[in-house]
Amino acid sequence: MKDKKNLTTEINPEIRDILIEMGAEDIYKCYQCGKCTSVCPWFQVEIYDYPVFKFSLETALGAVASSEDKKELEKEIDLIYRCVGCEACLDQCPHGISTSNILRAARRLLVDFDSYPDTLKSTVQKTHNVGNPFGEHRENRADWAKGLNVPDFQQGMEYLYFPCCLPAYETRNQKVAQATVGILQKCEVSFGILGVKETCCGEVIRRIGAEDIFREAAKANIKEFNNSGVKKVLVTSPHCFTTFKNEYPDFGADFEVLHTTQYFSHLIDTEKLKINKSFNKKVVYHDPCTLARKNNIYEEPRNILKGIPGLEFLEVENFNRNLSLCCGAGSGGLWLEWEKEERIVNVRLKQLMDTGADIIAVACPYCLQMFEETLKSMNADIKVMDISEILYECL
Amino acid sequence: MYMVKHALLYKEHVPDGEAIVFSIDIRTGGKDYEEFITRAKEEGNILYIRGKPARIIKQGDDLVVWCINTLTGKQLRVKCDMVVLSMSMVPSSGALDLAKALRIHTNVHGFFSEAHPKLRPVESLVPGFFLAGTAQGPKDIPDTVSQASGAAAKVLTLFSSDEISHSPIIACVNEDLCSGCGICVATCPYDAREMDERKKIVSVNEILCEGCGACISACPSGASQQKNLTDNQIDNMISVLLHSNAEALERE
Ligand code: SF4
Ligand code: SF4
Ligand code: SF4
Ligand code: SF4
Repeated sequence: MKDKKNLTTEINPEIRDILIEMGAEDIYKCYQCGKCTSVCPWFQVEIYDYPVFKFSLETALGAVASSEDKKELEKEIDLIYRCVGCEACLDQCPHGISTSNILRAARRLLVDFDSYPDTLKSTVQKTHNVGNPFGEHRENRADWAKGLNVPDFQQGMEYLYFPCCLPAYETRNQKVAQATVGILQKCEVSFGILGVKETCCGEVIRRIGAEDIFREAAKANIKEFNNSGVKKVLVTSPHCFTTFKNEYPDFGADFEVLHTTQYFSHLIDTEKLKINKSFNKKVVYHDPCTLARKNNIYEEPRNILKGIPGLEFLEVENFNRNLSLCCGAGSGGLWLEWEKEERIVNVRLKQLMDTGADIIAVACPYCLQMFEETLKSMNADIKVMDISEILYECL
Repeated sequence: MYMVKHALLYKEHVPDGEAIVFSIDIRTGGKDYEEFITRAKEEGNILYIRGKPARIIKQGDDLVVWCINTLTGKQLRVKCDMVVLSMSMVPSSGALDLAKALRIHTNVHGFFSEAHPKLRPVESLVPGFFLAGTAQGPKDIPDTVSQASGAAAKVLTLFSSDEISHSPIIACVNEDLCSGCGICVATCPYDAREMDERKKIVSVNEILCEGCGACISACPSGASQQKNLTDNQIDNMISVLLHSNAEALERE
């Protein structure tokens, strides 16, 4: 009986139908060409074969997230949670299939049955309990702004600045939020923050598969934004950006969203922001998946960097713009540990360092966190900075 | 298909070279073609890999093709000296202009359309114009030769008789009604109408007229009519039809 199980893939229409219901409706479009697999960042981890192209077909057969054998199911969970949601596969798929969406459907099923990695369970639980994935206290959410004279958001202000949980709580990332408000204050932008009234945008937990808790978070934020009369939101994180812009409208949100790179680039173009100092460094820009591929923001970050005097701008050969490689932190990846030789972030850092740059410029708190953490153990001669930090230094 | 031939030719000229074909679905539409591919794989020693390459990266002097073998799920990074892209066939750049000049219809891809795919495969809808070869669609040499032979035979048929027969339903102009507005001249898709600039009246070239009826609907004065199918005749046919239907209904 056991042998038979290994030899034949059982077709399980029930699971297939549930997954289609949960958002895997694209599975039938796949014609098994395999392109997705060789642009997936896991392809760069040469010792590991990640079978991206199989997920559509296997879902159509009901063979994803369906093993009854515990060991087998664990293997499947491992596969399902390796996807970092970078959408490189979607970018190259001839039929426009987003494998990360198919896997998200499988994740929703796994979350419903509570069979998903423990670290991610705690991430979801913390977001549910205290409104951020790190389990930090809600009342400390505005601590990063202490002493900076950042006003609370009030009706009539033009922008709400929403920093994302990482810059709100994590020491290294707090500097990004601080630099951002520094620039905004210098340009006399009318803005405020919601501080302790913010809740995590919920992007991560949605991609982990905890749909219900995501909806709770989304509704809480939308309610708070509406009550405060928010019309325009400025965000540091591309993850907040895409969630607010592309996903919140499904729950009744009606506000404009701008990423800081978009806004700063606009301020420079309209001469409201003047760059006074030069930055004599070689800087390579890492396109964050969610800002670049997902939201087509390629030029603004480059505009800002290229406009800084003294700055030598570098690109990663073969892996820039839509072909950029994920840092590995997306879709819960920040909380998952893989074998050292199997880490996407190491591959990406090597590519970035090979350009000979002094500084890696990023525009996403997740990339910043991922690179900083990894560099600590590498003793490399390269620094990571958010574009806002570089810009702030040059004012 | 043609890349199999190229691969085989390459192997003939460079016997110790290696040829790899990346493909996902091979369609061999023709007699003995499957055997041809099998021969290429077996005798020609050409390696077929199922998988669509995603990227071609330059590494020093080499080109590296990134792909996976979808049958085994294994990653492949194939170093090559040359990568040949096997492109699909498209109509030649002037084809559309030619089609417009000859008033031959084209399909969505810009290939010339035949009058009927089964019954009139080598004729266009415009009398006197025949189709052969890749103007009509992607084709290999044997198919082109057969189609061209058919087209040549059709041309000969056309020239073999002393007279050309033509459908009697063609347009004519009632000179008393024609106002010389010229609308029909612009409308006619076959260039069959000509304005007599002196008389300001239009005449019809009866050989060119295909009886399509466009000018009849376009003419604001009712001057343009189809011979044997005038408005009057059609009206009468309709009323007879309605009348007989009404009679039949009454009888019921
Ligand atoms: S979204 Fe990224 S990590 Fe996930 S399967 Fe696609 S390419 Fe791979
Ligand atoms: S690239 Fe698209 S069509 Fe090709 S195997 Fe991947 S999902 Fe399927
Ligand atoms: S459209 Fe009618 S009236 Fe005008 S030129 Fe033609 S035949 Fe004469
Ligand atoms: S019937 Fe058609 S082909 Fe003949 S003259 Fe009128 S428009 Fe031209």
